[in-house]
Amino acid sequence: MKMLTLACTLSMMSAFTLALESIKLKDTINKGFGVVDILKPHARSTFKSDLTGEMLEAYKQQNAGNLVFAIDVNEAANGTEKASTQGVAVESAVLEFDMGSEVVTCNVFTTNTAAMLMKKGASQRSEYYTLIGATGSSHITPSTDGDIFGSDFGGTMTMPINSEACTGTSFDLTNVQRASLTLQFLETDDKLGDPEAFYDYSNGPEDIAILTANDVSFLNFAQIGVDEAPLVIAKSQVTEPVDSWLYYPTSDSFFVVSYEDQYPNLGDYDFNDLLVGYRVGFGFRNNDQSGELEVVSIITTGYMIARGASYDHDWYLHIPINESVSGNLTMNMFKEDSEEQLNGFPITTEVNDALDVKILANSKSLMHLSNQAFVNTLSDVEKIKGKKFSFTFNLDTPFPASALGQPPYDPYLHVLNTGQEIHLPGQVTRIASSANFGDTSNFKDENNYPYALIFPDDFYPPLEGVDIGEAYTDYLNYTLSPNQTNETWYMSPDTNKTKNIGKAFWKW
Amino acid sequence: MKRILIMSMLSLLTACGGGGETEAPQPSQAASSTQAQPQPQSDKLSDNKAPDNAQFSQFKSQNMEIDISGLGFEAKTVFLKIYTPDNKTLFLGKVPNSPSFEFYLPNNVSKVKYDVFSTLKTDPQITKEYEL
Repeated sequence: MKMLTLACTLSMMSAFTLALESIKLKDTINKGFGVVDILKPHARSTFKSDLTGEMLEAYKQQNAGNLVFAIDVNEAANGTEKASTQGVAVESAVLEFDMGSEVVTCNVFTTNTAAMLMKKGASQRSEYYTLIGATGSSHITPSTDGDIFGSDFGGTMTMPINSEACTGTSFDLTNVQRASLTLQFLETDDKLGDPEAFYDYSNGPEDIAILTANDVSFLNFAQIGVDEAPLVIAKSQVTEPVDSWLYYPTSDSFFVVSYEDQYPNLGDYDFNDLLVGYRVGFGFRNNDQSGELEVVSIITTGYMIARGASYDHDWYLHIPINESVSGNLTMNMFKEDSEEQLNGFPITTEVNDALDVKILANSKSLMHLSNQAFVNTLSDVEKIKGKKFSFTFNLDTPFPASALGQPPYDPYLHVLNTGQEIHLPGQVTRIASSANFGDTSNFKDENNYPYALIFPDDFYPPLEGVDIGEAYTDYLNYTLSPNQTNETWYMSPDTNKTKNIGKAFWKW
Repeated sequence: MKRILIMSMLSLLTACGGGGETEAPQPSQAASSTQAQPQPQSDKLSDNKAPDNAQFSQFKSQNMEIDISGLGFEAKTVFLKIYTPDNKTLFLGKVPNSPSFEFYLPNNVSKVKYDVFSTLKTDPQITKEYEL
């Protein structure tokens, strides 16, 4: 009889253990603060009943005396935050358990990452735990029954339930009647830019889930968004994040490249046949032996801005590196003003030898208006937002930063109608099938002007057919006699001859 | 008409001794140059042939070196943030003792700021300007 009872008990325990899944909770964090009832599941959770004290105790035992939560960080707004990496910093986290006989509070927490951050109103940076995540992912967890499966939950927060972390005398959660988690994110001084802007909490809301040990392992191994986050101080399971990031031109500005696509013939000098904004970031690791910075990751973000052309183009970004490189490249292409990607994206490919990426294939199909050949270059036609793109290239083997080529690198056009490549002066052709492959013309026309120019992101494109010299009356003076008076010529457009499409519009 | 203007421009270039240089100047050199330049025929590029030393870049490369070891930090890991005067981040993260950087900034940016800090409470937190 005793054997039978034991068998039944073990069987029930086993069934209960198997049944325990990660559960998304009902309450959320809004504007950096939330009181989360950790016994109430979300309406769309796979678990439909309230959680019980027994379940909390089982979560705690699975996680070596800790309750572990995952946060779905939803903050892709400021600094270098984007869909693939975004973060918040945690100022305080307090668990409160009503045990019936006493109320136990626990206020010790850890996460896998931290950063040195300036709190709003402070005069010096201090270290704060951070939560990093991403949107748009869809986790494939070992268990398909829990709420982490198919979600994009990111950073985890671990809270020990013991006498050192909690008030009270009993830490067995079996008889808990009420339980809540009060979470306060840090208000960073986001005017300082990154890292404070990255870890601010301007957006939200953030969902929270309570985790099984299996899902804790999964999320801590996945390190969602950590590689691209700035100033990560690794804690516990996070082992090798990037040590630093260097951005060109900066972490929140862009090179704007514009083209005349009639090469090798003369164009009309409106420099609006295709406009693309892009920036490049290099993730470094410190080589302690050589003292050098080594590149381990390269990221690029950009936008289509305007397309004033009848021709169709592919647009490439070639980042010259004085070494052969290899690794995985993941390309994202987002629909206009959306976190949703185009069909078929993201695309992951292997890179071997050179980092030369076709980013925009068939510019005409990617940016068009019905009944209009030109987009964002006509005065009396509505302006529209363009596609956003990004790629992440993770190298198989790091290379020294000294092997990097010169910015703004080699953004080039392949004009599909003519077969011609168009590069910045000083670059060479790249595509063996191009009509001008091997051409050494230096990509200047018969008047000695380039077919491609790079501008700061304050630049407004000239209207269709308007010579850039007419659109910016100081431009020609600058090209002939640059000085401190005319070097910011691009800040003074003739508003009647340029399209009013600034970064505030095209960077969405 | 365009051809006539171009021919005129060529004549003007020859008369003034302009053109013929094969090496594009650095922006800083060009900015201080007092070399006579031909007067444009109009604001339009199509009316003016560009001399070989014409300036087409709105950016310039700028170098920066910092000796972290001389700043008196005790922590093994020191963080550096380099940013423009309008708070746009150029570099952020852990650094070795003597990092050097090359930035590519708009021509009118002549200085950057940097913060150096560590996780040690006893270490200083430094903010300085750097003339490029």
